[in-house]
Amino acid sequence: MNIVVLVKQVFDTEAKIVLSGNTQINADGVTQIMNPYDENAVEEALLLKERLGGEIIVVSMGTQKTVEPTLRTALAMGADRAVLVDDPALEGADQYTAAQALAKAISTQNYDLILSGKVAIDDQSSQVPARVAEILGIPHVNVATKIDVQGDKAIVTREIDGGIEIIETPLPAVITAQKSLNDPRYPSVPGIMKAKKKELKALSLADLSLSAEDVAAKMTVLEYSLPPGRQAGRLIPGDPAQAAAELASLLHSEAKII
Amino acid sequence: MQSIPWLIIFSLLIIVAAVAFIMALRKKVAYVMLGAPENRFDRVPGRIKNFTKNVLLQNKLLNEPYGLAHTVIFWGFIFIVLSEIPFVWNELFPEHPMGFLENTFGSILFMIKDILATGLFIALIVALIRRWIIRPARLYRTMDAMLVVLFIMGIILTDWLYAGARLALEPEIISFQFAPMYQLMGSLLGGMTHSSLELFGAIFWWVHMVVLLTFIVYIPNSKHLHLFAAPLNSYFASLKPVGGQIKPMDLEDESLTEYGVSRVEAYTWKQLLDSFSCGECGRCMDNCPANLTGKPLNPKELISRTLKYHLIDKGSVMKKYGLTSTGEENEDKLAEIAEKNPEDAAILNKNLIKDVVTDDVIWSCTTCMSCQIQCPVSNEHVNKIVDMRRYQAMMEGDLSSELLIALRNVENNSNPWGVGSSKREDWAKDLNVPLLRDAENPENIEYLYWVGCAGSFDARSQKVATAVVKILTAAGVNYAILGTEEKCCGDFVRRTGNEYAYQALVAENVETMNGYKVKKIVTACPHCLNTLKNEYPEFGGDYEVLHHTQLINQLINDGKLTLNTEAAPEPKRIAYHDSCYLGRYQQEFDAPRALFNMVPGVTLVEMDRHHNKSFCCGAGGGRMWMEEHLGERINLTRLDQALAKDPQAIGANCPFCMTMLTDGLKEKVDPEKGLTVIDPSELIAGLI
Repeated sequence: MNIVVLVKQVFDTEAKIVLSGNTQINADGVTQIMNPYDENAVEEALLLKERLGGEIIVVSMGTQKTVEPTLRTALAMGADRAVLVDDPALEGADQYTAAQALAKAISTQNYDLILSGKVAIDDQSSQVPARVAEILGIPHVNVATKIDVQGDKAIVTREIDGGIEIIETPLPAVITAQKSLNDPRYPSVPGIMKAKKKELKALSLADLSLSAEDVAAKMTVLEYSLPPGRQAGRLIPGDPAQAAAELASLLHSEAKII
Repeated sequence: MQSIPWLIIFSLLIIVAAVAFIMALRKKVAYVMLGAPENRFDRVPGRIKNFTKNVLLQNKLLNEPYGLAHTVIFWGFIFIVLSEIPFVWNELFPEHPMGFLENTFGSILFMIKDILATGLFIALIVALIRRWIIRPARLYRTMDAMLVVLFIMGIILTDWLYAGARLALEPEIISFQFAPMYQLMGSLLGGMTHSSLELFGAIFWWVHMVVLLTFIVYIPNSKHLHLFAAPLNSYFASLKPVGGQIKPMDLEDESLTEYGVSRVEAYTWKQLLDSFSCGECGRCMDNCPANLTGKPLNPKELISRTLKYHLIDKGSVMKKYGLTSTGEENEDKLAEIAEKNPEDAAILNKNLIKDVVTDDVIWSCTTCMSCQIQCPVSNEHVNKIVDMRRYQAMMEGDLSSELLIALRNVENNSNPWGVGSSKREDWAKDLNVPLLRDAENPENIEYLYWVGCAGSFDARSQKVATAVVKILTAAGVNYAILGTEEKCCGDFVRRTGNEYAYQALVAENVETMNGYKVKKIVTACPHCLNTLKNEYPEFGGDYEVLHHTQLINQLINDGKLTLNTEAAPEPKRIAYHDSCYLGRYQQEFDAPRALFNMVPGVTLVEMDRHHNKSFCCGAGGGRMWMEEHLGERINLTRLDQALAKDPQAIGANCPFCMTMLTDGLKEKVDPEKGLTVIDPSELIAGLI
């Protein structure tokens, strides 16, 4: 069973967000990590490989200089090789761009299943896996909490509001991982050492027979803005009855929540 | 008296005993030699010094009252062994007695020997009473322990009876003239006839020889191999500072395919020798916070039973097949054995981790080092545990989920709390704290104040950091901090077995500090202190490192910091808690106490366990970041020990201890009582 895992490198959750101008986020000095849900996807691929054999290919997009650590992490966890779409024309990519490029890169591989995280914690769009499935013309099941592969189909348990849904899908399909799918492993040192020597193939758009127009973004960012800073708590002095009355009035007039 | 047939019998006895002794000893030596190589043959003068202190002078044993009994047994036994030479010779060849002893010199020698033997006999009775009547939990009541005492008693008694008979026959023996027990026996036996005395003497001479030779054979077959192994072990003891003994590991070495230890023979020979050195005194278990709070780790059990028995079992099977290792390189051989002798294979394939030593044992250790500090035979317990953790961490990624979070936090944000690394210097924002990166000539900055993750991110420790800054400023110290350039020192990372991640952190920190030409460091965290001082040199980071309490004392003694002690004293009874990493690890007990004592109104009280016997707060060795599911909680136990002294505050010197004890207070003590945990620097800062 050959599995493609789509991974994305994202800012660490504790990263301090700094804007350069109002349409760009400054990545200088920011710790970047593998999108946590993608780690679940890699782990699931490893568990499936342990049971069924095959090859795990991690696929990502971005410049090699920035994304390589994330790909090496996936390789250290146990993935077999990595494919990276790296092209200057991808600067300013949106979900359409990413899906076009990644789908094309995946289509050059031999795969039975495509896994990914249910959402990337940076832009939170959850679009790319679904778009990839669409482009490749295969089913897509998201927010999986259990994946049971049986021959050429998979029984997927997914989280829905207030319950679970169990879906049977033919393979290949794109399935995205929820946190509770598994506990991602901690790469072993021999794993890290081996990962340094595993294949990481960078493909340009030309290598994928795509032109810059084929993947041109459909969206333009007009403005990014940071959330207002948190204000310090306010202490209302005075005797309890009075203070409570004032609190109620402030909650009504200022905070507007009652 | 000896005729030829008796001489033949005697010779046969000696040969049988010698062969049996050598065979048993060779086996044990062979097991120890299965271990990996390690150079413990260097620095001979230091080793001789250690040997003299801990073996000849019985230094550590004498730390406890019963140690006196051991010292008497030790020296008494040496003299008894020496006196065996004339004992045997003179009886075998009465016509050529050892003349050089028949004078005042000999009589003084025998007097010392006889007095020591008497003392030894009394010490053995004390030992019997202690083990079998007082029955402290740390002494196991085993046949082994009983036999050893009985053997030595038998040797002494038969010696007395034989010598008594000889004296009764020849009262003029000069060498025996001042030996009190010999004289007493001689006069008791004085009434017997000449021939019965001869028979009596001969019988006890032979009984003595049989007991002695049996004992000699018994030694290498029992825990009493301690007698040979312990002195060797003390000689080969680590000469590194207590806090710098974790085994070095060359991660660049490409031939290294296995990190840490999961096979007993992957320990070094010295680590294996530990098991045979153990005399089962139980000092370790009596001071081990894990053991005392009902966790499955018992350092004595681990060294002298679990590991030893496993080594003997596995070692004997390995020897049978001529194996020197059960690692990957012998995979084929092991498969062959598994086919032919599944029972042997089962022993060979037993994994040290989980099959022999359980996870709960491995992860209960707080690396408080009390076991090693108490151990009279220089056993090195902590490294064995760290080695197993290394295998779990680096080979298998088999770590608890809470620990994984802390490790990932360090990886992503350089601190175990997981607060964004960009916020590392936020605590100092309004305090005018100089940053090394802003210094025009960073090499002229005298002290780097290493704030550590706790001082940077933990609200309680930030207050200590603030006090330190106030003091450094008031004393005019030329210092700066690294701010966001500082990364986790790696202490807990290393002690949870993550050597790879540790060395990566060290490399970054060393590069930063050497880039600024840092020479002196002051820190308020004993964990940072220990690794910076004792472990960084191995990676090219050579600094003079001080704990803040040490530097503050210096500043006050040098007159650079004047305290306003005029203020009305606020009477405060403070129970003082020695942290493991400042106390046992650096042997620094006085500096924090001295500071507390400078504060008007403060009365410092000692808990029952203090100085080298201080009790861990429960946070060391990565335990800070793990849940404590087994037994009593260590921090609550320590808190109880403090509360027993009815204090108004608890004095501490380590951010981990502060957290653990404060957590305990929140849980156990009514906040109305106003009990707090304080660092001495906070009180000193109040006097500026």
